[in-house]
Amino acid sequence: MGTCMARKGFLTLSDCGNPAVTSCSTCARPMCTMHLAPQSGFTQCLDCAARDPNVKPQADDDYDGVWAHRYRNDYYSSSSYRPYYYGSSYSDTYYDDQDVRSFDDDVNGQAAVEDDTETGGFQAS
Amino acid sequence: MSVLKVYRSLDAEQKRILAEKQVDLNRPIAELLTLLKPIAACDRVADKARTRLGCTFGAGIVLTIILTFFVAGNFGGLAAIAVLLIGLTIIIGSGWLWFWTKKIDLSNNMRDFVLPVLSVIREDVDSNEPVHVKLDLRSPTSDAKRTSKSDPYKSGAYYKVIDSMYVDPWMEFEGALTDGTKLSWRITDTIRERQKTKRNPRGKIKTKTKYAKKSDIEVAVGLRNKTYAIGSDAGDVKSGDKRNTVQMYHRHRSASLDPIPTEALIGLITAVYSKTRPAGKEA
Repeated sequence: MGTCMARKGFLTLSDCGNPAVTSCSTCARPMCTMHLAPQSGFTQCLDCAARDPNVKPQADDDYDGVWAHRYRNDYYSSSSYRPYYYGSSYSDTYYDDQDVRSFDDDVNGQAAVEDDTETGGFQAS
Repeated sequence: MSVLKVYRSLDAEQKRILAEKQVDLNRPIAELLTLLKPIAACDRVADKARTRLGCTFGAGIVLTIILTFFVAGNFGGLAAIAVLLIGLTIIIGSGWLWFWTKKIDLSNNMRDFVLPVLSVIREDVDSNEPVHVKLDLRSPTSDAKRTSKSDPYKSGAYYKVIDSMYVDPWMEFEGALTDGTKLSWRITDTIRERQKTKRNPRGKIKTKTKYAKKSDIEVAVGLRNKTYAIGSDAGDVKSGDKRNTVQMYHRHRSASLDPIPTEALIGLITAVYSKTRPAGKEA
């Protein structure tokens, strides 16, 4: 089945990479359980469900995966924000509407968190 | 689903948060969302129930009085007493429930800001690292947050105006992102409540309450030097050996107590990322 083809994140984007369990009934891309919409009976990916205006959150004020993906799509299209994409699927046409910025290959794949004592918060000097 | 049933489904920690209205936790973000979502759902059900209970309480008083007299006149004293007892039970029950839902009421900042923001950045946050979230979910205009109250004064047609000021530091967040960035923010509201009383042309005394709110949003984004270089237009940047920290600030003004829009914070954070480029790349 391969790996999940969803792009995760909001501030920056990366490939999910989890083992896929099924293919989306709309776009046929392999998806893991985390990126399938419960509203569809776990047959449709969150991206496709988010693009379908008939798919609602599971309950009022339920900021579920569909809501988060829909927020992401709306934010990217209404603002000038272009997130960095750390993945490898630049040729995936599903995300043609996402205007992303890429990193060079030598930066991709670096350990996300290293041991460092600088907190980077309001007390940083 | 009834509010009591929803409340009973909460665990001890969630009930404690509802009672104390304070959150100060270090947890992975997924765990935090799992903890907070049922609390928000209970708050939503309680808010809706309180409206119905208020109507039931008021209608109960009126109907009990009317029915008691009607039944007493037509069916005798015993029947009237029975109606009165039933009516009093409904009135006391709905009144008690109203006060109880008021006691567990949380600030709408939880449902309308905290949860959506955490849900948006959920996949950006390193799932292996705990995030620190501190929330004050008491009402923004609770007595504990009042910092001053003016003496009554006159203003135009209003013969009595009282200004009260409140300071509400209701959210702090600190966490590590999957790209190595350290993200933190804090939000403090300053609220002016103005109660104005006047006598209308028909002689009735009318009081209205208006609010002016300033939300100060401070964001610190600590970007790893190995990953990101920061543009010269990034603003307030504190350079370090391993990371550069960009501090951004925004003041959001509003004429209501409604929670600030999520974009007020998200926009600040994305503004920082927009000023970055991969480390080692020419500007």
